[in-house]
Amino acid sequence: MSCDAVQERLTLAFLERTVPAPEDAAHATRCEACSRLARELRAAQEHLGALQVPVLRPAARASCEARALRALRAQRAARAPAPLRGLGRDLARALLIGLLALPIAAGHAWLVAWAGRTLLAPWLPTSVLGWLGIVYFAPVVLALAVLYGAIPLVVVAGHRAPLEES
Amino acid sequence: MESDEELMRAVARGEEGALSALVARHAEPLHAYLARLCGDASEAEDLVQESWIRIARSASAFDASRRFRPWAWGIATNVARDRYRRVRARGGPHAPLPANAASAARTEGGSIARVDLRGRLAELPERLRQALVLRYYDGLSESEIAEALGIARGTVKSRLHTAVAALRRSLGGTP
Repeated sequence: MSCDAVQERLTLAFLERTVPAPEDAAHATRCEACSRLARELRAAQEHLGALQVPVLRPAARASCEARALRALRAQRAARAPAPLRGLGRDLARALLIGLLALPIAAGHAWLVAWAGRTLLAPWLPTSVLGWLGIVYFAPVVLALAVLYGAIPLVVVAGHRAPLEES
Repeated sequence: MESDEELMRAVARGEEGALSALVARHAEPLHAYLARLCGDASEAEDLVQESWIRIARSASAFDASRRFRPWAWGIATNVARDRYRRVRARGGPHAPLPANAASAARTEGGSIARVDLRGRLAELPERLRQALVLRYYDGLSESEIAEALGIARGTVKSRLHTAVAALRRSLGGTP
């Protein structure tokens, strides 16, 4: 029986918290080196018994849970699609503002057309003035249509931006 | 009672209650593991919090065929390792254990009645200490340790054998 093998088994028995085999214990009583190791292991065992298992303070445990839950929520929010809550309200608000602005835009266009007609009437025939009116009003109507059509897109983009930043 | 793996799958779906249940089950043992690994209970509190944050963030990446415990313990080991690397980069001690732990053990080495096992563990290289603590204190099997540390099972065996031999020598066995 080699001391090396006995000492390995003694150490394993200590680590596994089991009693050493009787033949190893008997060998340890006769052999000085193995006996020294057995004494150290017994002392370490007592030390282990006296050692308090490190306790996680309740505050630290609560903090653990809170921080983990926050991380989970952040992870979930990052994966979730853009929230639609509030989108309808913001869209209605933007369209209302646009609707209120419509008379101003229309009034401005009418004023320009009236001034142009008044200034040019002495020199141009009525048919030409009519064509000029069409040439003027067509881009104005087109610009307004594009502007009002873009409102929902702008509102949706505004909703997505904070989410992407987060 | 739901298994850890079932709870983890629920966490991956975003269920907060499942995460709370896992924390209730494993926060203490994970803290104990980290305290043994780094030798400092208060530092282990920081590490265990960081570990749970990483567990929550990695929930969607959890492989349902794996066991929760080695996976989570592996994350905690990485957290401790990262901390140790940061400390080392700042010129701190060579391992996350308190610098005085090993010297305390050496000073008291002659006194059989006052064997400081934590100090003896501190003397072991980090990779051996991880394997030893996971096997004999946290009760993980060799295959679970291999999973947790991301190494082969044969390497775990060899590390455990070397660690036991080193501990034996440290405790007064023949070199």
